[in-house]
Order: sequence, then C-alpha cells, then structure tokens
Amino acid sequence: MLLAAATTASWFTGFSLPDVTLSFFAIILEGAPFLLLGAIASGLVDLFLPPQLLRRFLPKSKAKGVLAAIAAGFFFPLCECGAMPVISRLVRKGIPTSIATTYLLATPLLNPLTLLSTWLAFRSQDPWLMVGLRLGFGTVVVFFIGIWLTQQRPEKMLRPEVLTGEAEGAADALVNVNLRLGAPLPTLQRFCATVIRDFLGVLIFLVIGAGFAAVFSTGINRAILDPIGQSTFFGPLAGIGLAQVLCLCSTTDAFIIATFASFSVAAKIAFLVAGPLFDLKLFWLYQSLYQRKFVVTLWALITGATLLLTVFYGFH
Amino acid sequence: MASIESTSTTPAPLNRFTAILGYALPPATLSAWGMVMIHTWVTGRTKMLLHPLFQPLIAIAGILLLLLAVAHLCYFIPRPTRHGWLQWLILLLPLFFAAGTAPKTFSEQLIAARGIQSTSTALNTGALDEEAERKLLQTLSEADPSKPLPMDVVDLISISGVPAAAQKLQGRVLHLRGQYYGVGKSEFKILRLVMYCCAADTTPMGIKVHGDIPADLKNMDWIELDGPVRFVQTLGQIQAEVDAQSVQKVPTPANPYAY
Repeated sequence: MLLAAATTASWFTGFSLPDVTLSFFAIILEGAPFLLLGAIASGLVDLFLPPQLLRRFLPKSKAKGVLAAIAAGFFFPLCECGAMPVISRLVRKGIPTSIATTYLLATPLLNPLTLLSTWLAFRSQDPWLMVGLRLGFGTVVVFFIGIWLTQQRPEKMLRPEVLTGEAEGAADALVNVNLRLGAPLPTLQRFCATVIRDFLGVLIFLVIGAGFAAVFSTGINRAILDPIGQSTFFGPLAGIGLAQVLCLCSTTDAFIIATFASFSVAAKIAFLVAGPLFDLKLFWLYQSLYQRKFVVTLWALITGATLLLTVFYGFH
Repeated sequence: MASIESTSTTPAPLNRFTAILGYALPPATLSAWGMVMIHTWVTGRTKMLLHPLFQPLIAIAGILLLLLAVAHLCYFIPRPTRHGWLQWLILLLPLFFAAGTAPKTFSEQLIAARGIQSTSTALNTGALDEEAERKLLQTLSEADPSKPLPMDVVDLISISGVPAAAQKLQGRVLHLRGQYYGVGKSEFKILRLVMYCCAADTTPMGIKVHGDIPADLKNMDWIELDGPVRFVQTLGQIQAEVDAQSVQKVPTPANPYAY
C-alpha cells in the first residue's frame, strides 16, 4: 500500500537547467575552499610528518587501529571534501589503507561540529536521542567497515597508480611538469607541488560529483517519500536513498532532514548516518584514490549496515 | 637506438607545443577558479550561493589559488610529454558555464520538487526563544496598532512554534514580504527561500494566505501584503495563516534568500 501510494506521483519532477546550474555552482563554490584546505593540510603532512613517525604511533592490533582512526575522526575533524586529499597523502606516506579509509569515513560523521549541528537541528525534537543515535550507529557502522577493511589487500582497494607510486613527485597525469632546479625556498616549492597536485587531482571528481548531485537534488520529488517515511523498512531505505542523492554536507544535513515531519526517527537516523559516508558526490571523489569496484562495494556495505541497524531500531 | 633516444629527449614540434600547453593549463585552471571566486565575492554574488558563514572562505580560497598559480610559474618547468585534454575541459567548461549562466534564485519547479514547509520545526533557528519572545512583546507594545506590523515570513513561522507568543499576535494586521506561489483559486502561499549551507540545500518556507489574487501575479513573483494573522492547529502543529486585505507586486530584492 505504501509503495502504491508512493508510485502514484512521479519520482522526478523534471530537469530545469537554470536550477541545476545554480545548484551546481553553489556546490562547487562551497566544496572547493574545503578541498583547498584539505590539500594544504596534505602538503603540511607531506612536509612535516615522516612516515616512520606516523607508523610508530599506530597501534599494532587491527581492531585498536580502527578504533584509533575513529577517535582521530572525532578529534581531528575534516569535512568530506577536505578529507580526501589528506587521506591520499596519508596512504602515500605508508599509513595502512584500512586505517586511513576508516578515518575518511569517521571524520565527517563523528566530529563534534556534526554532532552539535544535529543537536541544534533537532532541539525541538528530542535532540539528545538524535545525537546519541547518530553517534552510536555511526560508530558501529564505521567500526564494522573498518574491521572489514583490515581484511582487504591494498591492491584490491587503491588505484594502480597510487600503488606503484607513479602519482608521487611533482609530476603526475594531471600536473605534468618538472621542478625548477635551484629555485628559492625549496621547501615551499615541494609544498606548492603537493598542494597543486592534490587540489587539482581531487577537484575534477568534485566537479563531476557536483554535476550529478545538482541534477538529482533539484529534480527529485520529496513529497513522494512522505507515505513511506513511517514504514519500518522502507522509511530507513528512503532516508538512505535521499541522503545519497541530495549530497549534503554533514554539518548541514540534520537541518534538512529535521523538516521531514513524515519521517520516523529510524528513517531520519538512516539519513544522518549514511549521508556523510557515501553519496553521489563522494562516489566520484572516492575514485580519486580508490578503484571503482571497491567504491561500489563500500557503498553496498554502508547502505546495508545502516539499513540493518535502523530497521532493527525501528522494530524495537 | 641513438636516434630513438634522441627523438625521445628532443621533443618534436607537436610535443613541444603540447608540453607548453600542459605546463600552462594547471596555473590557468588555478587562476580561472581563483578569479571566478574573487569575482563572485566582489560582486556580492556569494550571498546568493552560500550561507554568510562560508562566504569569506570564497575570497580567501580565490586569493590562495591565484598565489598557487604564480608559484606554479615560478617553481615548475614544462615537461615534454603528451597530455589528456578531457580533464581540463571538465575543470574549466562547467565552471565558466555555471558562473556565466546561473540565475540568482530557483524556479517554481524546485518548489514543486521540495514542497513548502510551514512549521517552526523546519527552521534552522527553531521556534522563538525566550529572548526573541521578549523582543516581540516589546515590539508589539511599541508599534502603532492602527498600522500593519512589518514582519518577516520566517519570523512569523518561528513565532508559530510558541503558543504564548502566537496568542499575543493573533488577529494583528501584519505587513509581509515574500514570493508568491499559487495553490488554489483564492488561496496562495507567501514564501521565502531559506538557505542553510549553500543554495543547493535551499528550503522553501511559506505561510498560507487567503484572499483575492491579482491577475498579473506569476509564481515566484515578489509581493507585499497586509492582513490579519491567525494561528490554526494542523496535524498537531500550529501554523500561521493570513487573510490578505491587500496584495501588491514589488520588485525582486537584491538578495532573495533568508538564512
């Protein structure tokens, strides 16, 4: 019945080029400064954090390593766009891919700013419950995926050029130049090389992802989700689907889903947990470092784990 | 063998051209993004794209990108290898297209897709807090009761979340400004587009209005109206409704968004 009600209207209201263009322009202008910030952080990591120092501080146990990555996500917050260049740099510095990827997933979802914005957005709708569920379910999902990641081989996850180190140095497929020998301030030269390469290398995926996000976020008919928002199974599924299509920032998404009065708590939590971990924009951004097959598997795991937890919560 | 090595180390004219172009494209792209950002900031267009919290970042990022473009020219030299073109087209064409053609605000199709929110729970600021309620009461006591009380649509929705404040305002003639969106024969919504983070997450917030609709009004036109407000209970939540006494079309303001 719920599905019948939902299918009586169109899922997609249509394509409006001006709306798509405005939405696209806003997304890239909002994301690019954070991407640049991430590239600058990546440049600083490259200069000042030697690989042996990073490895010395990592726990030897896999489970403890995953927990450390989750804790790092809380204490060293980065948004989805800004985290990508930093993670690429950490992987190239020799940090285990599983640990770096766990941090990539944890930092936009579990950082204090995201939790504070969740509290603010739901302050008239049981804010502590929403913050607690987001933090709790988010930690469980990221921990589960982190443990799974420790079982994977890097060559199954990373792009071949990252594994072979071809993308290292000042030259790669995008920024195809040589360093000018004898230039002043060689440290700054190396820093600029890293920042430019990391910024442009990820920016292209942000542009592609923003294009897809703009088309779907302006055209999808939100009213169609109202009849299924209260369903124990389809509610969380709709929440996850909506989050992955709208491609919102993790510090903002709570304000949007709080307006969906027809959605159950489980559906709202599914939206809040799944969105920062994976969406249409991130599908492209992740491919700046990972193989597409791995990215698709990651999507399936995030969606499946979030759905399982939130449906279970809905039943109880 | 020697000639092959010589060919590979001494680039052919085409290779030299593509090498120089390949060398110039990264700083050109950085400059293009930097200049678009600075232009957007200088012209005040960032107000139509981003929440005020994020607007200064555009200027800072734009300047940093221009500095990086200069650093690229100072620190790097061309490398004689072939380059792909697609990535540069992807980085530049959508940026220029969007910068050149993106409108100030969304069309009515976005309203149809997202729906119009009318309760305080949908607001970033939520319902009216105690301080805001105190200010409202002060404004009400100071305002001339014979004249319509100017009020923002978003503030009115915020007030509807506090029954005590709503009761104080019940029946008061208000002066509202917002965008017109038709929903019936003698019923429409006056709405504001509320931006939380960037324009992509814009949420339409509106109040139901009863009354005669001027014939020349189109959806999304800007209007001003006067009329008494009443607060009604709908699906367990209090919503403001206005009975319009006068409605007139007004020019689009410089910034059509509320934050």
